[in-house]
Amino acid sequence: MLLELENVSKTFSRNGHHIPALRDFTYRIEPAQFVAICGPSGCGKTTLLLICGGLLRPETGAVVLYGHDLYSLSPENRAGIRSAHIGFVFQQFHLVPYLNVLDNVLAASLGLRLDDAAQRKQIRQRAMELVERFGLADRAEHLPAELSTGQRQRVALARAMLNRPKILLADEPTGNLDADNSNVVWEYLREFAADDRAVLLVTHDSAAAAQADQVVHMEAPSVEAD
Amino acid sequence: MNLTHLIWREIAHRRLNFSLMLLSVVLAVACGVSAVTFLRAQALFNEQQVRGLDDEIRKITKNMGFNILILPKDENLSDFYADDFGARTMPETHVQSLAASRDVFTIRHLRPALIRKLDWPEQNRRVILMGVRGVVPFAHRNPKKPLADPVPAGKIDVGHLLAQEVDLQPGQPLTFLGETLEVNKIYPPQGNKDDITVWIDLDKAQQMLDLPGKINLIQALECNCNAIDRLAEIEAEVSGVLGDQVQVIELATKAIARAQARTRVSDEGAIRLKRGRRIAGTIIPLTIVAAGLMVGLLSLANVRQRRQEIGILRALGMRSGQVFRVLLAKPAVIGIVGSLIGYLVGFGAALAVESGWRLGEIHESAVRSLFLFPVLGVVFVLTPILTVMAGWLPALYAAGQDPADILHQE
Repeated sequence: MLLELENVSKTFSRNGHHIPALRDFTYRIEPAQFVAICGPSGCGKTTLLLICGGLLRPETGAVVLYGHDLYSLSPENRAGIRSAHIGFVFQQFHLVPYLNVLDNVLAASLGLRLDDAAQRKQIRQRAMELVERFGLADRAEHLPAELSTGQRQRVALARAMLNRPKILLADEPTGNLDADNSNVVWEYLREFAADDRAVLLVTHDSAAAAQADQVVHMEAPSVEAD
Repeated sequence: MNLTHLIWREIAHRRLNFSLMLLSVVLAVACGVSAVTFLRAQALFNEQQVRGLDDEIRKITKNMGFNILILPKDENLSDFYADDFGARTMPETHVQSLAASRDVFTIRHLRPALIRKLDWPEQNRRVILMGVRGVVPFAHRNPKKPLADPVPAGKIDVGHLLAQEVDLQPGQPLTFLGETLEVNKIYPPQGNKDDITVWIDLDKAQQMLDLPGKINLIQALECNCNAIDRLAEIEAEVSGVLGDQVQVIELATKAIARAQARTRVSDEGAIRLKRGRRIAGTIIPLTIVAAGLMVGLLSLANVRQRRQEIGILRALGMRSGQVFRVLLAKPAVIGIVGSLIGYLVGFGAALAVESGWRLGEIHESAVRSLFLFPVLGVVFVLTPILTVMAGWLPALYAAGQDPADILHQE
């Protein structure tokens, strides 16, 4: 088992209203799976993704990633797990604006404890391979502002894959891309999952969800007054 | 890729933010350093001015004459005050004994004198004769500029009133007690007995009065020291050398006037310096607080601008401690660089103003005299500490932010 969510619930409170984002959500993801969570805006997709990524503590339930119960760990250890085993891809790419392509990819290694020069050299080599593989070799020294949207998303993908994570969490990764660039992204994600890893995609677009091996539909929650 | 690289890339990318923070630190440091340097320059100027004025006052008060008189022990002071001089004599060797002593500190400018009121038969009038020698230097002290000049042998100095009445001019010969002497100088009016006094060389006076090797007075000047009981100290020192053969009296008015004038000059310098310190003591903390606020606010603006970046770096696995260090590194760099540039600007500006903007005429000695190593040390240590303190809260706020909140909102 790669990722296991057991009875996970999360509720947000705003202006005296309780908004249940997730209610007793249970799901398991095995290696080599490409799963899409599909649902309308506000149904809790991003909340689910952040919970899976160890960034948002649920009120109830457990999240076990690669044998680690994420929310029983300290924040520091959770950050370590995130750095080593989880890759994130967002719709807005979230690249660091002042780092060039290669450095943006390498930013994923900042959370790793690279003790010696050999390890640092190895991770740099890996970043350069990813940059080449994603067709960005001639853009390696460019800043994000100098790239097209498709190129930016490929940088974000390369960054997510740098540390060879066990699972890649993708939030509407093709939301800002045209059809050609979207196809490139789907191809990379399928390739990633096929390497005995997993992809958890959240999207409101059923066409995008159709790219996955499995699709889980979520409904918009009802707001409960105080 | 490491945190240092991340820090430098961010600084290079957001140059305006960095430049504004740096500028505020540079201005604060420059302001403080220039204020301290100006104060140092003012202190040196005061010292120089006090020395100069002291010399001026010494010259002015020179005309007030000596203020300590050493008389023979058996001199009757009532007679002395009635006649302004005494009848008793003492050996001239007393002066040499005092001058040779290593234990006399409270008096300077020893001058032996033999004084008599007598008739000037050639002019048929009564005058005061004063046989004097040049000031006898202390053997174990640095020589001082003499307070009174000797009268050369074969010459005579004449008081103003006497010269007017007898119609004397410098260079003119006259006969005094059968001796032909040349008028050396006519003294300006003093408004006292000096106006009817004639001064001749002590040897000649001793010869004329048939008192070889005798004097009846040693004139001296007390030092400008802050003793509680000056006269008692002088008496103790003098009797330590000459035993009980002499007595010491002080012409208090002269002594007090001289001491007050010199103290006043020194006090004036101290008051100016104190005022400068008070002004600097207000300006420096204000500039430090202003710069600290500026760095703090700009740091806060910077972390708010970097909110999304912080969120994604945390999502990528960066720990909050790492984020804190990255955000605090910038104020630290600004503190180090700002202190260096600020010191150079502040010191350079103070030098330029002190030189009247004649930069080419600034001497190395001026730089060396105004440069204070402790100030440099304090600036280099204190500035980074203060900038880090100013950036601490914004960095803490940023490091404590929930990345899930940030990514949710983004």
